[in-house]
Amino acid sequence: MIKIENIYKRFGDHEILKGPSLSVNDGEVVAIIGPSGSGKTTLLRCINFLERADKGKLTIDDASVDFEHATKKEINQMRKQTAMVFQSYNLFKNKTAIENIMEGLIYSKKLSRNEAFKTGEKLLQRVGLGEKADAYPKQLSGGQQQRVGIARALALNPSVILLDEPTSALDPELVGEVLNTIKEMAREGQTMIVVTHEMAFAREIASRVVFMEGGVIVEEGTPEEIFENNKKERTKEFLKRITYRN
Amino acid sequence: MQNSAFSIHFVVNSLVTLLHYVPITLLITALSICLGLVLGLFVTIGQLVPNRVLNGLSIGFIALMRGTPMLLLLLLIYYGLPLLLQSFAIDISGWNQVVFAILALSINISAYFSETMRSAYSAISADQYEAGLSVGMSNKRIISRIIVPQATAIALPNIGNSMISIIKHSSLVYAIGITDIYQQAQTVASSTFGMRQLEVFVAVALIYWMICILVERIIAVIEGRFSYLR
Repeated sequence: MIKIENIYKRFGDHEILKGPSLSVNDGEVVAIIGPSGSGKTTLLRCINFLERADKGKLTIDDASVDFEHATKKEINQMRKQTAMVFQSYNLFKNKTAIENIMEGLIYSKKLSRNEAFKTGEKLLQRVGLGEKADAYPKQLSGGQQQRVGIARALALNPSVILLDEPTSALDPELVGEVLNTIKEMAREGQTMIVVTHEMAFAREIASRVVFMEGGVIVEEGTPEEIFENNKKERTKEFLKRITYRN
Repeated sequence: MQNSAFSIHFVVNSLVTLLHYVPITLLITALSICLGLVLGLFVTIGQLVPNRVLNGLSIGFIALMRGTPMLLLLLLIYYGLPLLLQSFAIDISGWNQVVFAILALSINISAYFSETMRSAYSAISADQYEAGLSVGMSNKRIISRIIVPQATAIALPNIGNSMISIIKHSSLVYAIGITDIYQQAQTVASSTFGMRQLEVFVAVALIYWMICILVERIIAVIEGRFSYLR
């Protein structure tokens, strides 16, 4: 279980997060939707401590931490409970596909090289890239890179995987393979928070959809509730714009 | 006298004589490059750490070194450093000229190395660092396993350029009385009363070309090993 309470984050004069709270149960897939600048990505980055939130509380399973006062050690411990899939994949450019997965296992999880290699092989198989173990990121397509990114996150066996617009940087014809991999993870009961602009995808895999705007959660509910029976005017407007665009 | 015609024979003769002085040139440049890399690394760190005093010192050092002609720096160090240290009761006047040459060359090249290293470091996007954090790696590991290898690949071509320029700069050490290829060439040339000056200089040029081409090839091979990054 992961719980975020009243999280605040400001960049200079700009308050990006204005105290939203969100709780995700084990096995749940929460999709966060909303316009650019609504704070979706910042929320994910704060959970992974890539940004330091100014205020608020984070609980993952039995461990809690106060964003304002978290020590380096606490941050490291919380970070180990989460894993991130980045919009632009962020694979280590000087490492092969399998080495990308092994780095975290060896240097954070303290596995032996051998164990890490075996886990890496297994996970590359799982995302359908068993043949590409020795390829460098530059030698892989965007979709393949993102699947390695997903395998790297899965390998850490985190309580929750945070996916930040995992298909936004992909060519349209490569989106499908990545979405399928994520759907597979959802079926297997992996807890996930996904920031996405793919509405059909959110609708299909999310157990809950959260609509964010202006640093707060405007509305949340099941996909049906948000996409068909939404109550808030802002949600309606946003979804209308999105539908026209598609 | 038919001596006025260009003599290939004399070029070859000079080449053989001068080749004996290649080791001293190579020794001076190799040690200068090694010391320059270490020094350059410290200057780079001085530029990157969040400390205004160190930042200022590093930037000042680079500006000063790049603004000092190599020959002048060599003379300043050879004549000035012993005097300076004497006032602290340290006597280095007995040191070999080669030591002063290496000091001067390495200080000069470290400024260029440092600029190259800093820009290579800046060229690595924050993504790579964040990816390391997100998989739970420590700062130290991210730097040693992810940032430094990538920055090295980016820095290589410019490091190579600086190496080549320091090889050529090493010809200036004759000014403080070291007999290297260039100094010996002067000697050989004057032993012909200037009649065979051109032949000797062609021989010197051939030697510098060979050394520089060799170094270029080595750098190119190393660069090739990083091709998967591009």
